[in-house]
Amino acid sequence: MASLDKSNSVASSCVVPNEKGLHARAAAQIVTLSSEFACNITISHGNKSAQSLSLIKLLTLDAPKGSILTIEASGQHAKKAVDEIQQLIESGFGE
Amino acid sequence: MNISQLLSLDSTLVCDQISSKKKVLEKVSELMADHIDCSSKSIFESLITREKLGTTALGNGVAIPHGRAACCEEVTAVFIMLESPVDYDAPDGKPVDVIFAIVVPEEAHAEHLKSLAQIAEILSNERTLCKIRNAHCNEALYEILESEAES
Repeated sequence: MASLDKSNSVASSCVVPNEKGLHARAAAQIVTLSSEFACNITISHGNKSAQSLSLIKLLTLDAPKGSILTIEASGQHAKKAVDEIQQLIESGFGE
Repeated sequence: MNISQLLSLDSTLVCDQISSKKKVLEKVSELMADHIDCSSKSIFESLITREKLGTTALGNGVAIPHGRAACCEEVTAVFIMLESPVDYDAPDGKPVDVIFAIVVPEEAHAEHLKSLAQIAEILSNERTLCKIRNAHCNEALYEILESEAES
């Protein structure tokens, strides 16, 4: 999906493709991947958003299959972080 | 479904005699088996199978053991507050004392996520967690959860 690249902020949206949606183990994969980046990453679904390093906050997003998630990052390697998290989500978390 | 509809007074417990993660899951299974047409053994198997894929501890002393069971016809939950925290292989290394457990029918993906989202909303609030940890009887714990779920 479309991505927006500001001066130091990058955002992109994608659809959750897997049957189980953004469940706890899937969210834990986002936390693990995010921890490899020094930038600040937020994931949003509708009017809810969560820091990508907070497993409990990611679960509040309530994102079943078909949900559109927006990944936004700012800081060092923000684009790489957004791209890799988007790839993880679009892969259906390997399920 | 609202979390307060999933919990009842007899599925909301303050416990002082649970000393390990395995015993937490056994207690959860016993409590759930009283409410649904599943054996405690099959519920325990479902929960422990999920734990083997990765801990359900979320950090900050909170865990959400969960599983799917063919014998489970509707989303079923148990809430336990431990007076003595137990090691739970948490990502932040902290022992766990606040446990929300849930078992769902095999294909109930959306209901499962909705229940987890509601409890995550409640348990990510530091003030609420503090209130929960200060509840010293089942009734007080249940009242806190009911009022937070409806607020």
